[in-house]
Amino acid sequence: MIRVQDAHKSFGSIVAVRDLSFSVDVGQIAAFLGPNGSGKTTTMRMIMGFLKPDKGNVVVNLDGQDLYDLKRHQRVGYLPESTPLYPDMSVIECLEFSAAAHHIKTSLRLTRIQSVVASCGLGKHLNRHVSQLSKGYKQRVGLAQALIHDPDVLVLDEPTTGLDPIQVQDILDLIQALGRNKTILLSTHILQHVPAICDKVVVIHEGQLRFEGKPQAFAEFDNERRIGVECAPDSELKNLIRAEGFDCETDENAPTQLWIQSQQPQDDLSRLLDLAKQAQWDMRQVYVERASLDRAFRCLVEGNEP
Amino acid sequence: MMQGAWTIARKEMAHGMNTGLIYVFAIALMVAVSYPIFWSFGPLNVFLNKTADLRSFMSIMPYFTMVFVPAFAMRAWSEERRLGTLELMLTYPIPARALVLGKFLGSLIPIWLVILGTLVVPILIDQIGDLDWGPVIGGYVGAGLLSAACLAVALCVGSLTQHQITAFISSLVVLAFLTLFLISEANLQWRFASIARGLLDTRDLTYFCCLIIGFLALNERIIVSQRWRSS
Repeated sequence: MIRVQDAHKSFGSIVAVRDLSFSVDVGQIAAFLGPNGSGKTTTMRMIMGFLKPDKGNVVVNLDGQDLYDLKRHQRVGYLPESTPLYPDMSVIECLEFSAAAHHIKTSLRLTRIQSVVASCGLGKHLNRHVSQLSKGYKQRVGLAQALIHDPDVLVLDEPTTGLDPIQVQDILDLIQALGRNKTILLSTHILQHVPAICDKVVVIHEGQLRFEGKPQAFAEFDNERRIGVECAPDSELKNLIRAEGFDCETDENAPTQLWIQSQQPQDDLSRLLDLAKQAQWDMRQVYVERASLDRAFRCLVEGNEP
Repeated sequence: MMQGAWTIARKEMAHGMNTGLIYVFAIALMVAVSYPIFWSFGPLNVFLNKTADLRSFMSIMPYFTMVFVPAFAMRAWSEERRLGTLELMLTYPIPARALVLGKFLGSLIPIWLVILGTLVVPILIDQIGDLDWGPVIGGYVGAGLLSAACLAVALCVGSLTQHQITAFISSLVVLAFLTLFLISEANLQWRFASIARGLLDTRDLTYFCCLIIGFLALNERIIVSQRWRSS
């Protein structure tokens, strides 16, 4: 598991991470979210042991043991943000170098390389130079390097940046498959994929923890949800709704659609249904708009409570 | 540790052999060594003077290493920084000491191969005249030590910057200082000349060993301290 305890890191006068605490258990995929400059990369570098926290602890615990330095590096795989690779090496050379650097025995290297090549779909590009690869394939090579030693913990810093939708889905499918028996911390800006593949969400902003919990609980932070009512909205009906303290508007593209702003959709929905019953309101359909993770994220980093 | 160092060294050698610089050095060194001996009309011409020695080799070697070694080593750390691969490399289970040693060996072996390539010149001279092999062997041992010392200095200085040109110029300045301006006992050229005379003095060997180990140790400290400070 990954355990970050009151970690603090500053660079000169700039505080990158401030008393940050969270954990990711074995078999969990945790989405690590935060705006640019929020301290995600610094935290990941501390987890990797590349940076040392000024205060607090950043621990990778495996088999009941806290691992440090080289032992940690042997059990953790890392894909940095910009996918650093040697452009003059071929894909197979990159993987061989990475395998050797992780002290994989020569007799096992071929098996491991074959395994990651199959997982990352690199079979057709083994002899191509990295400089000739597309961004998506470079990302796959980076991921293959991070997986070459079959790590128990994976730290992936924005692995889907710059990829087309198909490549993004391929990478996410791979991460999901890996997450069955590994601990994965995944930094991403694509929130739509979070509920599908992540068991946990950790949100940080300005180096501080803003949220740690399940994706469903994260979505609840969207406090700008709307209740949609399909009816024949006239001015009398709108006035009636406004008199009850709701803010409402019609949809220009769908004249029969009325949108009612709601901060507590379930309570407001009950009130609206009571109102509709009393006023004998002709409603064809009423529903609560699905929570938007983007709005939940914005609410969290802007400091609004649900 | 040696396994990690050798992994890095192999990568460095593969890269070094892929760049044109090492071949330019090989050709330039071969021409510079053989021209005064075979083609010039000067006092070193083996055909005109009927004497066989390698004074030209001994006289140019310090200047060659002073210029070429920083040029060859300038990309060793700065390129890793520019590509972002240093961050990745420092998260591999390889100690910083092995990393530095690997970088050193990976650049030193191609340089030594180039220097050894010029052995064809004394072998040819030996066919023509009676060559005294003592100074020749001393010269090559000295060249090996000199290039290793220059490389340790260039790598260490180069690890302070992420720009190749800055790495090259600053290494050149430090090596020029060590080669030309210090008191003779602490002067690279003087120590090299001493070995090149064919006498292996332990003081000369100790000087080179201290210089190499000292700058490699300093390089390790720089890499470790930069790692903790990087943002």
